[in-house]
Amino acid sequence: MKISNILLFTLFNFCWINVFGQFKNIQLNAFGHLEYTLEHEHQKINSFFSLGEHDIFVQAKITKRISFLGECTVKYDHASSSKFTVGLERALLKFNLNSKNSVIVGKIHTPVNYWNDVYHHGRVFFPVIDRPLSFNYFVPIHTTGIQLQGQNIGKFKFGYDIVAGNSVNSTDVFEEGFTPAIAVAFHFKPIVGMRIGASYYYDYMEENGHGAHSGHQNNSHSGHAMYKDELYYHTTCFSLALFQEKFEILNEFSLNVTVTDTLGTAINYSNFIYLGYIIKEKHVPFIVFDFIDIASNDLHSYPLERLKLGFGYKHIFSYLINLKVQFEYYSSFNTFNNPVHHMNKLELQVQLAYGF
Amino acid sequence: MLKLYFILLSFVYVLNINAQTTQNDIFVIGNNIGLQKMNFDEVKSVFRGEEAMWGNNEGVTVVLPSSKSEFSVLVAKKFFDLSPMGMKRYWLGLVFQGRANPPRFLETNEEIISYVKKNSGSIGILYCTKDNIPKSLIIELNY
Repeated sequence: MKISNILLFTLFNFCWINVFGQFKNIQLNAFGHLEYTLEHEHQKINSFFSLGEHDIFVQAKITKRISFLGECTVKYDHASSSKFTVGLERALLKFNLNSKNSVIVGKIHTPVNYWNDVYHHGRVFFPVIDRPLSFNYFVPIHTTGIQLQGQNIGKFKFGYDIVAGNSVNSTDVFEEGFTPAIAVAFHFKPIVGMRIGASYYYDYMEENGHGAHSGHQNNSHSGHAMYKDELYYHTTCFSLALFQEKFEILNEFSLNVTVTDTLGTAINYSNFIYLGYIIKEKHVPFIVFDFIDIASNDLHSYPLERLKLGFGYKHIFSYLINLKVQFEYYSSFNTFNNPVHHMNKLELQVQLAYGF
Repeated sequence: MLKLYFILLSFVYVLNINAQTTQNDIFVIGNNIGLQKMNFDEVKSVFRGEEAMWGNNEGVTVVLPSSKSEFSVLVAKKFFDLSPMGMKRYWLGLVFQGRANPPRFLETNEEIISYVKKNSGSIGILYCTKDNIPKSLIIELNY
């Protein structure tokens, strides 16, 4: 290649980067966390460090009405040959219809409750170390589809979300059957820092299973679903969030009902409560309570009763880095794998969460 | 004696007038936002990321003082009732949720003016004297 061609090529690339750099408003962030765990279970003590989920987040304003948001994670996966997998957690295009209403297409976090709508994968935002227990079982975390969203409407800043998308048992590229999953949610913010909301999610699965849109931690404590027939899936959530200068309160209640021809109607529920007190914007002592009950005739998540009680402390170094220390007591009983066994577990977790 | 009193009074009055014109104040500036006046609640709502489009169909771009800026504490308190760190955390959370386009955090009044001048639909806050701001950008703020 001639030197002039190389120069021309370089100049072209420079111009291309420069032009697109000027016109595209792009924000790139990364988040991650590291953890240390000391646990006592089955009369055995384990002590270990773990590399947490790492997250790349991109937001781009394409035109004055259209923007893109993408979120990609790298996390440990025992089943993978490299022991890590890359996941596309969100990829969506948002079209602003007007100042308050928009249409979103792509892969979203299903806006069923406050946690799933607000926190996503950046642990630096989490008030406690883990997600609520219900997220591992019956909260439909993702949906690939279309969403109509409204926000900050009127005096009480009313917001709504209407979503139609792929089913819980689907993948991001294919779903068997015709019926989409539907989510309808609303919330309002009567005072600054407060959000009260409720949602209803409906899904009909021709063949029960766990796909790309159910829980983040292996979808179910029973692994792959054994029940393969049709299942009706209803989830209702209520959220109360109050994040003020001095204190923080979050309550997430979920009611999940599954209906099968085999075992009839199973009623499952969970409740998560977090209370934190903020001292000088840096120190946050907190308590957490989490309970989940999955009925003995449930064929999607499978039976479980689990209680988590904990207290902890969060030290905020800056809005992009914090350290959480959390002491937890777990009590599980009536599990699918062992219906009569009661399991107790004590756990001390330390999490360093960061972003930039 | 009376004459001296009036001279002193006039001097104090002139000083006062001078102090008023050179005193820093909060100003809102905007470029092609379709508004010349806004009330405080409207401005607060825009800076909190609650509006995506202006009435003239321009997209909203919020410009805020960065935490290095001398007046970030004042702006964060007045418009967000938060600290500068809380304000940045609030906005990062909003962007991460996908509910708003990211704001621009700039350090100086000059940078904010320059950005707003160049970007249609942008709105910024300044803390300076009125003389330092191009008149065409000023949005009258009614409390």
